[in-house]
Amino acid sequence: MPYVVPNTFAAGVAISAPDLQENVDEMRDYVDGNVASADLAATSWAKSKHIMRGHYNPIVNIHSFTTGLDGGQKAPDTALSFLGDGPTGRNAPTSPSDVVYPSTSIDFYLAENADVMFQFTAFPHTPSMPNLNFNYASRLFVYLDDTKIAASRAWTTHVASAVAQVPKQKAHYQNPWSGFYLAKNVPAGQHSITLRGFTRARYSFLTKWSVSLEAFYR
Amino acid sequence: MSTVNSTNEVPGDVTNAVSVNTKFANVATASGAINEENVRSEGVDRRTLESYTGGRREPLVFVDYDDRDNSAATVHPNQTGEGFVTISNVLLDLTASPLTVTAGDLVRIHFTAFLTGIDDGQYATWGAAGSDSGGPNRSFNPADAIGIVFFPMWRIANPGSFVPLTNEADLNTTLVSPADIVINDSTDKTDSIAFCSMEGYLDSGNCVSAREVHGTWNYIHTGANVTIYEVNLNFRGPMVYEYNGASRVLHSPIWNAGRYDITCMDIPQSPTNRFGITVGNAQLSIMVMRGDS
Repeated sequence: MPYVVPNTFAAGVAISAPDLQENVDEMRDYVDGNVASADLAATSWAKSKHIMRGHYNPIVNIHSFTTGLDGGQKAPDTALSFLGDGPTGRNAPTSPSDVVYPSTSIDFYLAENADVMFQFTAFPHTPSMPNLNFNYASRLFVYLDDTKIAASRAWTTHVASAVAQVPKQKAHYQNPWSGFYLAKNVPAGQHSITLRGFTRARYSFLTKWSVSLEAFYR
Repeated sequence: MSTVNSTNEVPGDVTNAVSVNTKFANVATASGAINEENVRSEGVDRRTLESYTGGRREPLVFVDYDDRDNSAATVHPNQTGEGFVTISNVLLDLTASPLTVTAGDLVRIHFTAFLTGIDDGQYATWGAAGSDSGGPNRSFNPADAIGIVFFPMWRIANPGSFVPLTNEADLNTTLVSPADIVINDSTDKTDSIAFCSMEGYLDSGNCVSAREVHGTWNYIHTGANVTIYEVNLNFRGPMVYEYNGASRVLHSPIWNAGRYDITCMDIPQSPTNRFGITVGNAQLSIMVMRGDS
């Protein structure tokens, strides 16, 4: 309900200091947390120009709003993101090490807890190898900070160059990678989302990749 | 926050009842309207003003996610495309707090699915390996658009069954091959599906497909409210995308018969007329963003 004036004053009568103070106190209490939604006009309460434009950080290409963040990056046509089998999957270890595909990270700061949606797409290339099996595949996972999202696994290998098979039997893994991860209630603070992976071929690189981030404060 | 046309008392004025009453009355009768005259320069948005009593604040009103990693991979034998399979361990269960979607809301469903492989080691979309009496090699066959169709469905009645998403094709239909599922751009759309190639390489008698597909459905709701209780992820196939002379369809053929007979494309080469399909990791999510409601 709206502010109700406790006391009114009559002409010719001395204005009572306590009554005046009570009016002021009542006003203070109303403003300080007692304004109800119904007290606001139902129409014309705001226009699009009243919505805040947010703050744009061109370094990381992230737009910060009251309700969250939006950002991402798209690789230039000439860029490659590269990783080798040396520190990752050479000789097919049982637990290969995932390393970052360079320039696929998004670093972001959450002012409060948020739900975060991350999407990516990439065109992977892995070289021809002398056999066709998982030992020469490359794989990719989404990482939130240092947490591996195992369910985000993407996979690729390449046509073998020296296999005695008719062309139809050779692998055709030129399809792009595309995926996402939706993280619920990510704590406030600094975070990163990254594409990481390993290869059991000689190397793996990405072309024309893009990553995007949407964070919605709770 | 609203404009108050206050009657001010300044030094030197004689305070009287009228001016004091007017001052408080101005506050009590303030319009409360928020407009371009009284919004601070930084601006406000709906979230700033919303009466918040718990739960999710706009613009994102609901979000949920579920996934399974490759350790939960499942094998589905005897697949022909005549029926569909619900992928286990990826389910958005909203039954404890069903979500009401109102006109203007944007529903965003994302999923990924990893097709690990099929049990037809010689599989290729243009036929199996080997020479063909009708030509020098079956690799000269034109390929058919054969694949596994991954698709989400939702349950919007309680009790009730899972049904296709709004205006999406009836991919939950049970067929007797040969038969079609008609698709179009109006009420039988395929916006939400991910069509996954089965091609791969021969390994231990199987065809290792090993590819992930990513499907999305972005839909602005119109009409009466819809209450979502559950969302799941399914697949059916192999299906063939083709034109049947009247409509575009996802076709469920009799495998290893007709053009897929051993004398032609020989699909599947082994086993004879059906496929075993292995699905690995999968993800499923829903985001609902408030529109004009």
